[in-house]
Amino acid sequence: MRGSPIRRAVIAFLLLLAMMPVLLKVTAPRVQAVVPVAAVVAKKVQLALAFTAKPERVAILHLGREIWGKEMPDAEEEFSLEIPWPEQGGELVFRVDWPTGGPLAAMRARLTDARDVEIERSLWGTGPVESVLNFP
Amino acid sequence: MKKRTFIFSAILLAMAALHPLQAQDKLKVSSFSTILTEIAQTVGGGRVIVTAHLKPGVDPHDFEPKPSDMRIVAAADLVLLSAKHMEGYVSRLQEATGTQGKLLHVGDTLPSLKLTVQHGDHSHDGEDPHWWHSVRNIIRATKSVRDELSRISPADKPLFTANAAAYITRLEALDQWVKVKVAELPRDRRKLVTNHDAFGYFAKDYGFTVMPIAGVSKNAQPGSKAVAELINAIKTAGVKAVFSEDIANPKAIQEIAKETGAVFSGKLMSDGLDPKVSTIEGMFKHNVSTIVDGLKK
Repeated sequence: MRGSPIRRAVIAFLLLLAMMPVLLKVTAPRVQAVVPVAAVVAKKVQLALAFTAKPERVAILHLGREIWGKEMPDAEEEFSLEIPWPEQGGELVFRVDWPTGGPLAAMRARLTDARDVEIERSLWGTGPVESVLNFP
Repeated sequence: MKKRTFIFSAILLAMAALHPLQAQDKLKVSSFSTILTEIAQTVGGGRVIVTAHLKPGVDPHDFEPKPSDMRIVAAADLVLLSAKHMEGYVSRLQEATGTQGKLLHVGDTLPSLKLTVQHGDHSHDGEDPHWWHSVRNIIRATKSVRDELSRISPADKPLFTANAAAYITRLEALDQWVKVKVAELPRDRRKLVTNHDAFGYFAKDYGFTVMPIAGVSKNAQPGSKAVAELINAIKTAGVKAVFSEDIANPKAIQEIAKETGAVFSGKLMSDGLDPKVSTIEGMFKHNVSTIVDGLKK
């Protein structure tokens, strides 16, 4: 290679400058994209409860918090709740206090989600009962 | 004559006193699992003497019986084993003691989960031995112990049946408690990062995904590639908390917590009972509360 040392240095510098974008891309640390867990937004779900024997109290818990409760409910109750409800479904905890020493009783719960999908679950017991129902 | 009558009467009385004692000879049970010790004591009640060869807090993966254990096993009516390859010494135990007692491989009567067992630079498929992290498995194990005790001592079957029924009722209530506690946690947060792969049965029953650092044994050392992959997986899944185990060194998991920003949220009881939490119910309540409260934050 001919030419003055200054000229050669300038050419080398220009070559490096031209390759800069490629070099930066190759040597950059690989950063793993962190996919955030999708936030579940609050949605309206419709609940219908039916009891074979009236309990003294019924309560519904979602993620550890009581979201609905009623003393001496009617044989049939229907209401809507606004809770974070994922599309693939979720769980509700039911606390049903039937009278102690009474006969075996049952509760039917029908949940209708924001997409109008209906799911039914049943719960059986005597006295105070606490149970997790999965929808679906 | 009077003296002779007195001696004769005394002998008769002594024989009469000895007879019921012989009839009430207790069954000797040798247990090589802290979980099975509780089950045998509860089901057997006053009709059994249970020797706990594996004491609470001892790692069953590393346990080896001593000569004093061998002597007790030799005279046992029933030997309870966790099984699923947990007791590597079992054939030697049988050979060395010549025990006539029944060896009940409790774990082998239960459904199995498969996992990958790492041995140095190679791995193979194996059975997960940690069946006691499922309450349903503990109920099944209770039934196995009840049936075996009843076979050995049919006269005591009503007692063993009643004791087992009362215990199973408590276990069913415990299972309900676990489900209600786990329901405090959104489904997408049920991801369990621990030292070793011990919570597969728990995960299957209660809807968790397990992300272990090492394999089935706490002695298994994770490679740097595996740790890097786990760190990425924790970040990607947005896991908020990681856990260590009672017997394991928590250093590796604490490092992973530092790298990922997850919170180190306490120690879980993985390989049976320990001196501080010495009941099955206590173990479940400790583990489930630690997991749920840690991941809820």
